[in-house]
This record gives sequence, C-alpha cells and structure tokens, in this order.
Amino acid sequence: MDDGVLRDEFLSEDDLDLSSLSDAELVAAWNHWLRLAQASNDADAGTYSHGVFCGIDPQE
Amino acid sequence: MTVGGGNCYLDLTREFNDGRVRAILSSGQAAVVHRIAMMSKDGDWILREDQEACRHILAVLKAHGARYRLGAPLDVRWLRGGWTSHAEFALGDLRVRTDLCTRPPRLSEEDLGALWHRSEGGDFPVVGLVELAEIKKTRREKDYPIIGEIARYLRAAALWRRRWTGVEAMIAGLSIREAHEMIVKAAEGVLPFELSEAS
Repeated sequence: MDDGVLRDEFLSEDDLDLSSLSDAELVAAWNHWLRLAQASNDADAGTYSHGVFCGIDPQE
Repeated sequence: MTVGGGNCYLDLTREFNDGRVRAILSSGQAAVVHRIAMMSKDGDWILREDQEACRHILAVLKAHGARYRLGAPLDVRWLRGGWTSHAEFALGDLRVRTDLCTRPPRLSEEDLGALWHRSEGGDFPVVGLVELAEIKKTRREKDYPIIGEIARYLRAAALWRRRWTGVEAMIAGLSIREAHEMIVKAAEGVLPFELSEAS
C-alpha cells in the first residue's frame, strides 16, 4: 500500500501466502526475495546447496 | 500449469527449452512455481541425458557469461553416472547458480519418464509436487543411505577437488564453452564417470 505511511514489511511465511498471489504478484515477490537473498552471497560463495557436491567448500 | 515470465529462473528454463524440452525446473525454484515456499536462491534443473541437450545448455550459459563451478563437466558420460554440473553467472544484481543433473536422487526411471512425458505435453517443465517431495528428502533418518551416497561421490571426487584450484586458474577468462573442452580433458581419468563398488 502506497499511502505515504512508512511500515515495516517482512516476507515471512505468515506475511506471504503464495497461493493467494496473482501470477504477477508471485513473480514480483519472487524477484524481491531473490534480491534480498543476495545479502548472503559472500558467506556462501564457496558452498553447494544441491547435487553430489552438496556441503563441500572447494577452498578447504 | 500456466507460468508467465519476468523471473530469471522461469526465463532461463524457457531458454534451456528453446525448440525442444531439455530441462525441467526442480527443487527450490520449483517450490515457488507450485507456490509452496521461497527457500533457495539457486536454480536446479533435471536435463535430458543427451549431448544435444548439453550443447544447448552450454550455449545458453555461454550467452549469459557463466563460468563453471567445481563439479562434473556438463557431459553425459558423467551425468549418467549421477554426477552434477554447476555454473554461475551475474544477471544484474543477482547471482544466478545453475545446478544440473540427469539422475535426480530418489526418482525412478518410471518417475522420470512420466515427468518428461508431462513436460513434453505442453505443461511448463517443472517437477511435480510428489517428485519434489521425494527430491527434497534429505534430513530424515530413512534417507541416511542417500547421505551416504553423497559421501561416496565426494570420496570419488577427492582428486578432482584437489586439482580444481589449478583447473579454475587455467580456465579463468575463458567462456564456459571454451572452458568446457579444457575441463573435460582435465577431468578424464581423474573424475570417474561412475562410482565403483569400492567408492
């Protein structure tokens, strides 16, 4: 809602009911979530979350 | 399932499947398509296990300026052995990672056949909820054999891991297509195509 009032907004499971979103809202929320998730890029630069290399750090 | 565009993983899935169904979106991003949860910033796909699919995926990744991460070369000889291939590129302010396999854990040949049949029927190529639940089982007691299987792969990849820093230096600055040829040569004889009984 853009009524000029600042609000804290969070993308928790409670706040984000994906099933109720329109397709456009889902994509917008998805893209926003991905942008927020980039904050951990430095921390997980060497990690693998999927596949048979899961859990390793090539730098070790 | 009707799925629009405007998201890097949806768009990439369409690029992978241009002209032919070659890649099925899986794991975390599939969970978003099914409106279950947003849980991962990386993309996973199940690929067709043939060289044309590998060549096309490599061409798409090259167009995005992707680079290889430690993993198996994107080559059916390793993929059919259960190995996974990994790449990464920047898209605007996003780090996009592609985790690619042809033999996802816990899905039978029949499951995979049904999945490809459905995807070729015009549905957006994404794993279904049942397959997704199977693939995502990793932390339950009954799945410890799977974790043991990953440990077998990591043991088999020990020498490849040790050589990776040198390989990475060798391919620095090359396109993923050029790097691919060098990585295949470097991996042959070092990273076994399939796990042996002793692995």
